[in-house]
Amino acid sequence: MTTTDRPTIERPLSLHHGTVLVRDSRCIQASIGDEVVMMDTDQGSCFGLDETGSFLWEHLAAPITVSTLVELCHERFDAPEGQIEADVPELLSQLLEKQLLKVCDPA
Amino acid sequence: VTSPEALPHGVHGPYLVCGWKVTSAIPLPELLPWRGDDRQPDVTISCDHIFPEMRPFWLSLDEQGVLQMQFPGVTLSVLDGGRCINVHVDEGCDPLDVRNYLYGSGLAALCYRHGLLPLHGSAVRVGNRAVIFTGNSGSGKSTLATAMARHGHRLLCDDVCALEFSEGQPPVMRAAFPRVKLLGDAIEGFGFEEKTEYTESPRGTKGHFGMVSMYAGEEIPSLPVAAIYLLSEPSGEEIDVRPVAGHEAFRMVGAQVHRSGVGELLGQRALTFSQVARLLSYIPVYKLERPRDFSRLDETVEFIVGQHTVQAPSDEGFATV
Repeated sequence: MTTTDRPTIERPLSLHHGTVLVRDSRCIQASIGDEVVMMDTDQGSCFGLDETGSFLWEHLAAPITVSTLVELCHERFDAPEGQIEADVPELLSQLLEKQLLKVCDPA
Repeated sequence: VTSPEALPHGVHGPYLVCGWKVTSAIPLPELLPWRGDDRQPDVTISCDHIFPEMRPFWLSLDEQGVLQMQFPGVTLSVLDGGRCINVHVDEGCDPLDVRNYLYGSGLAALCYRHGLLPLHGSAVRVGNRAVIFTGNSGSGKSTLATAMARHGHRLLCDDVCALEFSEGQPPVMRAAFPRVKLLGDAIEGFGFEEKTEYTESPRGTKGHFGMVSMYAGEEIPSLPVAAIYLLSEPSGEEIDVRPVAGHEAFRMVGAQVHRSGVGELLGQRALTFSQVARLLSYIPVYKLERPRDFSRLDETVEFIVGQHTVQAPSDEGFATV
């Protein structure tokens, strides 16, 4: 079996509004009903996303800022004030941690 | 014809397995006879007495693309892109054990080599579609499939369900061969003791009960899939089904891909992922609860058949073909 020597990537500890994110190209995905499942093809790990996660993932096909994702979620979901602002960066951080997303160079 | 005829030079078959024409150097009495054309075999099983190269792991792939699987007393080498399996048998190894490895891991490896998805499960025909029972070992897949077969729903396979995916088409299941492996209490419950052969497994003694003589007259190459039932050990009193969807279905069905390490080694990780996803986008998945009591097995059979009974067309309906 092959092992993955992946370069260590400097990741921001916390995301800010202007951080631009995009799906990592190693990740393949499929939709099952309204939900997305995906696999890190290097490691073989599979992940499932709920409705909110699947919605975000859909928009992460092309580079997009955290603030735009938050705005899109406001348009799509009804949630108590402040919840989307808290939940979206947290989910994005988890996806970054699992290396399913990457941070785009702001240039 | 009740059993495949032996050909000269120690070649047995040809047999029909998952739509392939198979010839074998060792007799495989659990397989159905091939009734198709006289083309060259799709898969040839050879047998040698030369010790194969020892490899440090039970599963390996060499530079020539030979996939080797080592079991106690038996080594299977899958060559030529899945067109040949060479079986090396140690002296004194029980022929039924040899066939057991061929029918499980050997068949799963062939599936990967031929682009099919091997799902761990048993399947029966209901109407003209396949109903698949999947779940962990000991969850009762074979027992339920056998009960279905006793009610006239043909057993399509046990252990490995070979699923085929064609572009833009719903997946179909290729029927493997009609033999079930059952634990002792199920063998006894069905009254199969006389015609059963036994092997040892980690879960205890397994009885092998073949149904070739019942089915040899009808050839079933492949069938569309009606549903996948996820089984866990029967526990409650009621029969109930719950639809499972999305990533929950993916996780549960994905866990039942047979010998997934073989697919990984062959570099088919992404293919397997997409096949499972496609399977679930076409085929409904249900979690099935049922009573533990063996004597109530027939109620479960009736329940499942009821789920898949085609409604009779109304007077204004279209004629069915």
